[in-house]
Amino acid sequence: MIPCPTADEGPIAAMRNVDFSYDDGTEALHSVTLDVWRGEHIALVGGNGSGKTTIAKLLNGLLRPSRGHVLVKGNDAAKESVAALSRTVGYAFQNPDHQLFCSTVAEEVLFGPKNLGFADAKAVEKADRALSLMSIGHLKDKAPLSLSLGDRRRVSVASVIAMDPEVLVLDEPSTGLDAGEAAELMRALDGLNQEGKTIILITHEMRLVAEHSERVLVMAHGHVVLDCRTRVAFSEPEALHESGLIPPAAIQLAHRLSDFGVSPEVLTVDELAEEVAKVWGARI
Amino acid sequence: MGCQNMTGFVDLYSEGGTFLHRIDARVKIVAVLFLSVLAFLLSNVYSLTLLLAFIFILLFLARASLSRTWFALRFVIRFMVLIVVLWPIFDPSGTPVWATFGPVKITEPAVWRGVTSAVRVGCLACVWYILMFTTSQRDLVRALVKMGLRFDFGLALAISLRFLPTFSATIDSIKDAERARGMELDKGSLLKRSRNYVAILVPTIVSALRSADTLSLALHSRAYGARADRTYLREPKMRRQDAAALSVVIALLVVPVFFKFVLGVPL
Amino acid sequence: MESQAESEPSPVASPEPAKFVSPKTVALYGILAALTAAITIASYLPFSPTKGYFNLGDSMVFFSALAFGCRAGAICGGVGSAAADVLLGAGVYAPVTLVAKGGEGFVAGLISRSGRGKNWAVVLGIAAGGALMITTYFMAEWLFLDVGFGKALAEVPINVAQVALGGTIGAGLTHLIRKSYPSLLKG
Repeated sequence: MIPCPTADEGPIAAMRNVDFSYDDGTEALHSVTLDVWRGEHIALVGGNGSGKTTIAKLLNGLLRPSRGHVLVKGNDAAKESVAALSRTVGYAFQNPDHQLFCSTVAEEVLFGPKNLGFADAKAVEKADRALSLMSIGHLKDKAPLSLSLGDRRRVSVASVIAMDPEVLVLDEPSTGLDAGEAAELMRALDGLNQEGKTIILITHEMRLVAEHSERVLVMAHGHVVLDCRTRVAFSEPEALHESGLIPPAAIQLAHRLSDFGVSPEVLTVDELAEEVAKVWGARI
Repeated sequence: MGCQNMTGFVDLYSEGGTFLHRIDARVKIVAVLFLSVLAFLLSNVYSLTLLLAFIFILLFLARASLSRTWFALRFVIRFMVLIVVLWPIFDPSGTPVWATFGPVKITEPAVWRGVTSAVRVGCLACVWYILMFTTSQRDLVRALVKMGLRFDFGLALAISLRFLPTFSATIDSIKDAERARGMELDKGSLLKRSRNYVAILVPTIVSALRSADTLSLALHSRAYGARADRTYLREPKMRRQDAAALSVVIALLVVPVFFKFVLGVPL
Repeated sequence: MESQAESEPSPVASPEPAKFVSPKTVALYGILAALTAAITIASYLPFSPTKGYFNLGDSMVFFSALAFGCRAGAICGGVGSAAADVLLGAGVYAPVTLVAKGGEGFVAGLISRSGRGKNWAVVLGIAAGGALMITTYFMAEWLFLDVGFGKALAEVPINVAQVALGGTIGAGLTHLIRKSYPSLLKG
């Protein structure tokens, strides 16, 4: 469910008319305005170079807007350091190798919570929880960069989860994972979402978006071109097509079958099967 | 920010169509060497200033952007100021004495010697920019190989120049990743900051050494070393204007040397 | 035997087989030199942890020397550091740097390897290499570039700090990587 904004609590993170250009003149974002509410499960999608990662880095202060404001918990992020913002917005980088440097997985996951000043016992507790959520407890004493890509990815996500941020931004976390590993990662993220964490998933995999996210933000050339519930986004695939995004096979099939009375508003294979069964009156 | 783009990588070269861009890189390398030798041979502050002015005219003709020039000149100006300031303090010889601060005597000849040395260092530093502003790294490596650098060493050099921006980008990205996990890179004592730096270096080095492994396999699979007489597809060729430029460069060295050492003109 | 030789006609076989160094060495040296240059530049820029007062390139010179020996230390340290000088706009120092940092890497690698990488040999190697580097810069600035005794002397404390920090970091890195990723240092 998309939580409704309540009077006493504003969005946990927001952007107001944000422009951003890199030093070399590349204009990455044009007048982006968006609200992220506590407990949402958002997918940030769009072609390469459309500004997804720039949004993520603006939310935790790694980049500062050229114009406009980024608000985190209602406060202007411009006044906060990255370290302070990282308590609220955790960001797992696209390339896991760029954030692993300790000599063991255990140290790696402890690094963030220790930086945030948690007492030892508390930090270890948070680290252990993150390790078990990512089911990599057994790798504790291994050197992070010696692990397989899938495991390195999970260590890098665990090291952000361990900091216990309210908003988790994950930059293409499923890249390099096999189907089983990706499904397991998404289950863990859904679990965190159930506990009230806000998840922002940057991804190219529309199937993960359809199956897990409640809201979709579509980016194209530095603009937010679509911001709506996932079901609505996939029921009108034209806007997606314009941004170079192709809905997952189940949804495409549902659209093709809509002439036969199948509702095109399905998201998953299971829902499609149900629809088909309803229309043809047979059990599948 | 000048010639430093979003990845923190520094490259002084910018594309352009000036005659300095078109001249054979070997001629430019020879020019840098000869003008450097000339700077060492000249000892008169006026002739050195003239040489510096000549180098600046060439830089102007190279049409480098102002920010690029300023980025490069920052370093030179710092050197020059330090030389002028420090020289008289450590050299009390000569008269007249301009000022005395306790044991330190500032004398006129010492100040002039400092200025002369600063201008010479300015020449030596700026002459490089003529080459670096107008020559791509690819042309530079090819010219060096043509001038006798072994092909395999040239390849190693080309590889390192090719990976330099990649590693600069990696370092930046790792810095961001550490900051996103609450590390404050530029806070604390020098020792603490250096410890933070190790956190950046480990992943950089590990990923770099991994790419070295992959790269050596790629070199193997593309028949590296099969022939010693390997050539490039686009061999640099000396054209008429290159020969003309080369003779100008030679004259630039020979004429002042003739005037100074044969005719005894105090240059 | 002869027929066997004939059965292997190779279109690329050279009349004069290349006496190049192995591809692994070319790749490794190229990468190490690039790393040295990248780290020198990154730590020299004004927003780096050292705020532009000095650079931490020596850490990579020492790492190359301690992890891969004197030849790697000399070539990668010299070429990488000189390339950084040229790119940063300090090309006037490039020839001096080539000799000073190359010598630093060579000596550090030689001494630490002949002492079989024992702690005393590493410390001695870094100290000797560093001393050579500092002396080379001082003499070159004073006598060759003729920038004056004062300016040459002013560089010495900066270089001492660079060697102390760079040596500590370089030795630490070598130890850490040898312990955690031993397979990477075989070469």
